[in-house]
Amino acid sequence: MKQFSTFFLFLFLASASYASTLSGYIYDKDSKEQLVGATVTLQPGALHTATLLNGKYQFNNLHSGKYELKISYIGYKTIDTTINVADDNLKINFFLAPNYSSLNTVTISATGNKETDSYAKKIEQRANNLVNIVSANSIAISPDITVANVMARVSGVSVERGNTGDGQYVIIRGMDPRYNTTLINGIKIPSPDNKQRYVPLDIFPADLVENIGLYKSLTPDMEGDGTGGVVNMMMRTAPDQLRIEGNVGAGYSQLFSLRPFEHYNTATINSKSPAEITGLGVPAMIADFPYQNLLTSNIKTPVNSNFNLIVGDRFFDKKLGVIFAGSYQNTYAGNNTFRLVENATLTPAPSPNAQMLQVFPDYLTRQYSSLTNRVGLISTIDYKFDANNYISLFGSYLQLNENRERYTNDLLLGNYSYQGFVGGFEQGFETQTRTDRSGVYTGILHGKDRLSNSLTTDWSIAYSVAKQQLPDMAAFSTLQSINPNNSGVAESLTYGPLEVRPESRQWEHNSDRDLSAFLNLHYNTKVFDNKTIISIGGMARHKTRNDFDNIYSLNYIPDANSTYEAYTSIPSAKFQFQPATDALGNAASNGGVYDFTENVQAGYAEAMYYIGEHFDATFGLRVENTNQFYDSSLPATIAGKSANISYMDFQPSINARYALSNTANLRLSYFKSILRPAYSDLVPYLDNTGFGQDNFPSLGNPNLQHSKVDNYDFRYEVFPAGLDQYMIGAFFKTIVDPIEYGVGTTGFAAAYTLSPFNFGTAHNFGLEAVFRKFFGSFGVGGNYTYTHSLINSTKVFQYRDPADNSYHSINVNQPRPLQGQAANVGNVSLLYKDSKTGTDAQLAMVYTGERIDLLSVYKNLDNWERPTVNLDFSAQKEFSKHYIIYIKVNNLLNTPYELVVKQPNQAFSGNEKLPLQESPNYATIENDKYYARYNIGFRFKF
Amino acid sequence: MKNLRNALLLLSVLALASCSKKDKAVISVPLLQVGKSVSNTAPLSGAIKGTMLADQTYTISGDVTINAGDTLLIQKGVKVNVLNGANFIVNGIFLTLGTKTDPITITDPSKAKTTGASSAATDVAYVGGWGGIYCNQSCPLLVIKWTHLDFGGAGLAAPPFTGPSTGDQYIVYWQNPNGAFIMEDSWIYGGPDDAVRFYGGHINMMRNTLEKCGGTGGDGFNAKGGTQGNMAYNLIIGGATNGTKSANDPGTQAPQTEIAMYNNTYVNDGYRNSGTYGARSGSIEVENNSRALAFNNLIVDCNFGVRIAGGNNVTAKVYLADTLSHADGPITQTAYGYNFYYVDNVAQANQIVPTNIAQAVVTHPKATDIPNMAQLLGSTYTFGKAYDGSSLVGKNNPQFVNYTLPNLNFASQASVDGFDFHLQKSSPAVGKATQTFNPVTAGIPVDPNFGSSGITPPGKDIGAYQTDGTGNQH
Repeated sequence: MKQFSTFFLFLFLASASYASTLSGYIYDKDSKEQLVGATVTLQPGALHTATLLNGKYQFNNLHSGKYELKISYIGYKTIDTTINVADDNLKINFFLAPNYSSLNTVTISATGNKETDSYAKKIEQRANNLVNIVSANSIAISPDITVANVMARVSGVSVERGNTGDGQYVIIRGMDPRYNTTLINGIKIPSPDNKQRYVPLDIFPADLVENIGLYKSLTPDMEGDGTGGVVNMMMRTAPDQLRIEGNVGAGYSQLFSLRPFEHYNTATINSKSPAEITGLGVPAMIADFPYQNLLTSNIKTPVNSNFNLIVGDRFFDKKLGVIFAGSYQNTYAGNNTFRLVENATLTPAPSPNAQMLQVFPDYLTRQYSSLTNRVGLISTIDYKFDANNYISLFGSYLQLNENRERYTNDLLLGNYSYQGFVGGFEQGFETQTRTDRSGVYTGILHGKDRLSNSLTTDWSIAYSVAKQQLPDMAAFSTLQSINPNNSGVAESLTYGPLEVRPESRQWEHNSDRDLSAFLNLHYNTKVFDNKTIISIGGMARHKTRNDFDNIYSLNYIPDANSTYEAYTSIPSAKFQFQPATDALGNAASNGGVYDFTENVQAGYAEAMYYIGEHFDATFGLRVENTNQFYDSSLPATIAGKSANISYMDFQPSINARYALSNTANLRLSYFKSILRPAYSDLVPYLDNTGFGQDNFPSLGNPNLQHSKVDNYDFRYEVFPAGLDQYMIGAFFKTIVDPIEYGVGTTGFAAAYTLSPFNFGTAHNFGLEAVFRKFFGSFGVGGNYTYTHSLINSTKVFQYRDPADNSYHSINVNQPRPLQGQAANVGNVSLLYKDSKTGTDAQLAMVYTGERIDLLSVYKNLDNWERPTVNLDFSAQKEFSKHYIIYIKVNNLLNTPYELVVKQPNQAFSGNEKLPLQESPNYATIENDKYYARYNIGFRFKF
Repeated sequence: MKNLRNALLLLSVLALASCSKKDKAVISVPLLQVGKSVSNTAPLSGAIKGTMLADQTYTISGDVTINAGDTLLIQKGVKVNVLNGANFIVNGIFLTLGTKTDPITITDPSKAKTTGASSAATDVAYVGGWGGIYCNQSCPLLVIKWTHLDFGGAGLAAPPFTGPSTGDQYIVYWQNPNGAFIMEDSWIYGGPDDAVRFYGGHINMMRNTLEKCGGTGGDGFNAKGGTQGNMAYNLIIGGATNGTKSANDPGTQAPQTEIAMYNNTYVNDGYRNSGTYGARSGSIEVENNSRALAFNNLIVDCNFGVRIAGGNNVTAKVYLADTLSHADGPITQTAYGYNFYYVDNVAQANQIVPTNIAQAVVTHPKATDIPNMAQLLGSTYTFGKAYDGSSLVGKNNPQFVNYTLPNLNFASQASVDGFDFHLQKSSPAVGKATQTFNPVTAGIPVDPNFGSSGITPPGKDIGAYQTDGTGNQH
């Protein structure tokens, strides 16, 4: 670019007599916002300071004289000037000009360093639609290392956690993850999940991200399936000058001070099941299933590590920008879990008005040990032909590998009491190892051109592949009888011999290939003398997805003259295929094996209309056409083996903003959105995974309709000085054909299943409030969302009529909130920022109210997650301009994940007492503890 | 001369006899034939209908399907060799009409029966040979008479229709709540899991012999949600778990399961049930909101006696049988008694009235049982409590015609072999049965071909074999 700045200086001399102090504020030249953390140096004396959270700087006890003053801030042109300090207090404010030169790829364009909070706030303020932005800087000082955890701190967001306690999926304003979409650089990416479209956000290392936008309303140029929200991760882009930064850290999970980490060897794991190697229909041999991946060993004090390095620069007169960012995280995590198994069959309620009671035949204690490996590599190369024409190529490789060992003790509960609790009459031990290889690989070619003075175009071609492989998930189990010395209350127990039980081996893999192209044309004109941008555009996507699932069951070989095989060790356990057909696996007839093709074409026309400085509106119409086809390996005699589905949607929208002042906006929006059912929601594949222990079997429903949603939003926002902000909003969503799970059966004979159905029309409404306020070095921020939703889903209710003892099993409609929706979600964080000593600290709390976690087929017996309060802490200290030491502590309160069934709890006391019960009013059925996790490290920046 | 006189005497006796009674004549009935005959020139697979002709041998090499609306009839004396673990998939009507003198056999020809001690580890009976008879909801009628079903239970390679799962190993699977399933005077030998699994329907399981059913688990007749009918006069020997069972799960909008279990003889059942502990594997099990009658059964050397499942509201895995009184149904209330037990060791004796050391039981000790358990346990007995039954060991020998008791091979003798479980005239079980209840008749068609040959009412003697010649005809 032409001039590379030295200064842009605006001097305001307030008073200039006898100066002993020099102070003032540093502002952004364009937005007139205070800048936080800008470096101010004075020569001679090498005095330096940094601006506070309100943008203020101050030097005390200055001698009068001539000083060279330098103000620098990343992303802004440095100010270098000379001032005269006399014997008085001098107040000078400075206005920095942004020097950010590469262009943005989203529709919202703003300048500035995209990694800062002030940039984030600016986008929020200026966006045409409703958006929350989290900047890289606030991620860096937050306790989070994955994008999912970052999202938990955004207004209206709660997260679903995986088995390491880390967030995985976001629930936005009460809408299940299925209603949300995930974008990288504005392009929707496929999911490595084996069932869902939504993307597990823990796959993304937070340090690769420039900022994360959460869009809560859609404009016509956005894909129409982001009903709850769209998570857009803008990846790092090339800086203006050479930049090298990175971090090195180490961490520890407190869990492993209580018990060792269990590790297993993956060397013998075959990436393909025997049937994929030898062909479907060829029987496998027992020797095809080595036992080595079932042997575990201890690691006493496993240390987590994380590295990241970002290198970027611009060449050829700043025309060619290059950035490489890489991240590696190696984490040992886990949890200790207890769970009561819910029986699938229940005794009928004693009367039509009474409640059915969930009973618990098994008590499980489990220990998870997860070694997760995250590798993220991204690179962007952009070339700017001139100010108006540029092209960029983005590539990312994101890989999440998890080796998980799970050890389960399963106590089958009996009818006697032992040591104060219900005793067992049988116990099983299971070692399960699960190797997960998930990845998302994306390439995006993007360009922007000015065709004439008033006509611009931008376009993208993207190819993404998401994959998950679960090779050889293996489970070895044993069982023994327990005999109490007494019925009633037992004083001692005797245990029977350990028996080998059938072993299961499962191979699952899926891939989702997504090729999409986007073209937009923007025409700048005036209508009634008002600035107007008219855009038209279109996109096409071709998606192919395939799923494979093959389960083998290896039966034990009874010892001679015995009905069981005595256990000695895993290597010496002998197996056979009984029935002989088990040697084939079940892939040949498994609906979990399917190919799915989806073609989406869309076009839109949109106008952005500006009336003066105070009003703008973006409105238009989007049309999306969807064609889907799947073919599963279910037998042809079963309905739903394959299906062809198509539909077209017209999606009008309007987003209007009225600026009450320079610092306050009123926003109103309406948009129509859709939800396409997940692949597994359509394919009638009976998924028994976990049945009998964790949940009911599920089955897809090819008759499922896609959901159509009318979304209304209102928001009032104030952006006073600095980073302060206040927002209050309300939203209302009418969901026609919501997709929620309800009771189904596969036929007269089969057990109840949970299947997705369309339950009429659901309404989801709520209120949202956000605030952030800084007082010098201290800041406090928070948000709160109240959501109310209601659907009527089908449940089974079985009762006995006391009048004639007649038995009734009926399907009833039970009103309930949407699955996963917490009525109350809130965040509070306390910030401390001392720019002088370079110290940052943050204490962040997330509150998630109670919500339905898992559905029961029976009325009133859903599994509710108890409210949680998660507390995390992070701090960092800058040692020089280049080095920062940081510490992050997650889960300070060791907040358990707890599930309950809301019923009178007869297991709370008395002879039928069960462990970990905490209330006579509900039965606690799950309690998972993750313990705190510590991470320390240092960052460098050049 | 003496010989001549004797001959004259004999003649006159015969003459007298012939004067006093009608002519004894067995007149052949017309042999039913439906549709065209099925050819046996080539192995069969795929869609099938018509008649397999009497006394012919057929080979089935792959799954055969009887389409909805079609009928397959197997006439008497037919032998069907089923290869490759093939199944009968029944969407229409399936009739196998053997006779006492000319029974039908459906078998896997590669397997041979063994006698004597049987072990789950080594006996080929527990490894499925051919598959099974899988009846869909569209099957209105399945009639199996005088038919040997030997060595069935190969696992399903794929579900033939919505309902069963890959790997199911039943010999007969039934899921039509509105249809009728008649199995009479037939035999099942071997099988890895439940021999017959019902999901609803009107059933009459009568006068059959079940041997070696279940490998290391599995019941003889296992009725699930909505099944109603009779299980009577069956001899069930060497079953892995229960001989007869009723439960009401999983069920949809079905009526309750209601089964009359009477005059059965259970011998050596419940000793191959590995992997599931607790009082679940014996002779008769009534659980999970089902209703049943259990009368006049002879239970010899079984792991557990009649078990009426109880349940608490916290941990129960198997739920309370329905013991309440109802206005509806063929069986208005679960009832039991007049059951006869013989045990050969203390462990068996201590479970004649099953205890709830593992799971809750609500079996009332009955004064009408032999031995009189109500008297033994006293009026203060609490359900499920352990008791000392050692005085009962070896008592009340039922005096089989040819099966010597005591017999300590109860865990391994799983087939009839050369034994005869008819009662001797002097048996203490003779004349001790009750006839004060009615079998289930509603919904069960009675017809020589298209239904039951006859619902045999309760007998005078306990057990499957009546001294008057009625009951089990094997």
